[in-house]
Amino acid sequence: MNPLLYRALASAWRRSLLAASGVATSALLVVVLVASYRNLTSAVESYVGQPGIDLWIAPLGTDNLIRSSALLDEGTLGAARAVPGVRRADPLLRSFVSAHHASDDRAPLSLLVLGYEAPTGLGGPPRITEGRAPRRVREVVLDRASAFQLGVDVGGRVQLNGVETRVVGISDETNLLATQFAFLTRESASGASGFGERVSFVAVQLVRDADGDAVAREIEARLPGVSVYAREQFVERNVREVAAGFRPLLLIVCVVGMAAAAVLVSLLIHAVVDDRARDIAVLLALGAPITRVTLSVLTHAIVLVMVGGALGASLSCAFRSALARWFPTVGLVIHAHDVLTIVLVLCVAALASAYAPLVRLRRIDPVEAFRA
Amino acid sequence: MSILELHRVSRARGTGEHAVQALSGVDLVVRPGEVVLVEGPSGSGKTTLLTVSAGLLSPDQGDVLLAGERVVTLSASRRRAHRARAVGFVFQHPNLLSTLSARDNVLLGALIAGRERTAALAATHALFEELGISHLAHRRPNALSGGEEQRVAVARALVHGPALVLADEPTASLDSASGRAVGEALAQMAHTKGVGVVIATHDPRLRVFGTRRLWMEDGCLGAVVNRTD
Repeated sequence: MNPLLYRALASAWRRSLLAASGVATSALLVVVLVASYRNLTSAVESYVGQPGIDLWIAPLGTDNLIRSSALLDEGTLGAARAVPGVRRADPLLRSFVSAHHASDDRAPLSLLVLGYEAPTGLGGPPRITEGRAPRRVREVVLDRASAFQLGVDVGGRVQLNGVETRVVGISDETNLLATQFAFLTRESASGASGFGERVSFVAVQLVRDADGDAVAREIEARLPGVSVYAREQFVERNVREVAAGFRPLLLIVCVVGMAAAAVLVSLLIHAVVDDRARDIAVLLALGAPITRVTLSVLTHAIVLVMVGGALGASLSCAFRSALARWFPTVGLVIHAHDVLTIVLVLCVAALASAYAPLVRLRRIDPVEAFRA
Repeated sequence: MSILELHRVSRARGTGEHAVQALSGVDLVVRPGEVVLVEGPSGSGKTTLLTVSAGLLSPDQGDVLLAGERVVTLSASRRRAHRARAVGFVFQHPNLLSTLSARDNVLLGALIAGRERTAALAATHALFEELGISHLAHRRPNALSGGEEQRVAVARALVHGPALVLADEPTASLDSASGRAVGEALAQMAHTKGVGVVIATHDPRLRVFGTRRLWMEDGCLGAVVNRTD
C-alpha cells in the first residue's frame, strides 16, 4: 500500500520541483559557505601541517603564523640545530608585502610572504601545480588566486614592495581568502621586508625515532625566548586563528539557510495537507491508518529535501569547478561528509517544520469525504 | 442473517443551541443482496445514518452491528480495520485520487482493506471487466467523465469484497445514462455477490434498482414504501 499511498498524496510535480529547487538553493548556500571555510582551514593545514616539519619554533607567546609579527633572536637557528634529535632546522621569514602587476595599474594585493631556504628548504609551497620553486632572488611562487588577481602567470612579473620579481611557479592550497601565501627565497623576503638576518620561525625536522616532546622541551630549555609546537598542535592553533572570524558568519548563514529550507518544507506540507484534505478524508474513511497517511506525507517532505539536497550538492560541485576555472579567488573544498551532514540537518529541519501541518492532518475528519 | 443492524440509534450533530437530532431512535436491518434506498429531504439525517452505520461516527444511544461486530465497543483502530474490510463507500462526488490512475485508485482501495497485492490486482482487473470499464483503467480522473468516475468509484467500493456498500447520493451529479449505469452496477453486485447496499438518494431513477425504500425525515426512519410505488 505504501508506494501507492505515497503517490496518492504526493503534490503536483511542478510544486514539488519548486520546493526541491528552494531546498537546493538553501543547500547550495550552506554547502558553499562550509566549503569556503574548509578551503580556508585546508590552506593552513596544508602549509603548516606539511609532513617534512615535525616541530615549529616560534617567538615566545606566538602560537600562529597568520597574525604574528614577532621575530626570533639571531642565535635561535644555530642553537636549534645543535639540539640532539634535530636532523634539520631551517629558517622562515614571514611578512606581509604589497604586490601589484609590474606594468599595469590594478589594485595592489597584500600577500603573506614566506621566505625559506629555497628551493629545497623546509616550509616551501606545499603543492606547486605550475612551474617550479624559487631558486634565486627576485623569484616568487604565487598562489593561484593571487596570480589571477594580479593578472600574471608563470613567467610574468610582479612588484613586491616595489621590487620587480619574476613569477616562477603557481601553488594551490595556499589561499586564505583574505590573503594568500607567496613564497620567496629567504634573501628575497629579507630584502622585501627589511628584516635583515632575523627570522620569524624555525621549521624543525627530527631524526628518525626521536622523541618529539623531549626535543621540544630541550629546545625550550636552551632557548628561553621561544615556544615550540608539535606540528599537529601548531596546525590546530593556526586553524583556530583563521577560523575565529569566520565561524560566527558560518553559523549565522547556516542557520538562515536551514530556516529558509524549513519554511519551504513547512509551506509544502501545509499545501499538501490543505489542498488534499478531502483526499486524506477519503483515505481515512476507506480505512487507511492515519499513521501511514502521516508517514506518506512526511516521506514526501523528506524525499523533496533529499532531492533538493542532492541537487544543491551537485550545483555546489559545478559551482566549484566554474570558480576554479573563471574566478579562482574563492576556492571551495567540498567534503562528502559535510554535504551529508547538511542534508541530514535539512531533513531534521523539515521534520520539525512538518509538525504544525501534521497536527492539522490528524484533525481531518473522515466524514468530510461525504460533504458535497 | 443480517449484514447491518441498527437498534434504537440516536445521534445529535452540533452543540448547545445549534444541536440537531440527526438520528432519532433509528432501527434498520440490511440483509445480503438487498438494495435499500433511503430517501428524504436534505438535512433529514441520511448521511449521518451512513456514517454511523459505517462506524465513522459513534451513536449517542443505541447499538450498531456491522458484519457481526458491535462497532460501538470496538477500539478506534479495530473499528477502522473492520470498516476497511467490511464496508465500501460511494460518495456523492467520486472522490478519486487525482494523482492515481483509475486502476490504481481501485487497487489502493483493496490494499487499504488488507488484500495482498497480487490478489488485489487480480480483483481490480476482474471488477473492471465485470463493470465494463477496462478501457478506463489507465486514465487519470481528470480524463474521465462524471459517470465514468463514479463507476470507477463503485469499483473501488466493491474491490475488496465488502459485506456492505454505503452510497451517498451516488447519482446526484450524473446524467440519466450515467446514473442508470451506476445504479445497475450497484444492483448487479448486490444480486451476484450478495453485497448489502444502502443508498441515500433523492434520485427517483434509482427506485427501479431498490429492493426496499425507506423514508427519512427529521432523523426518523420509517414510512416504508413498496417498490412498485
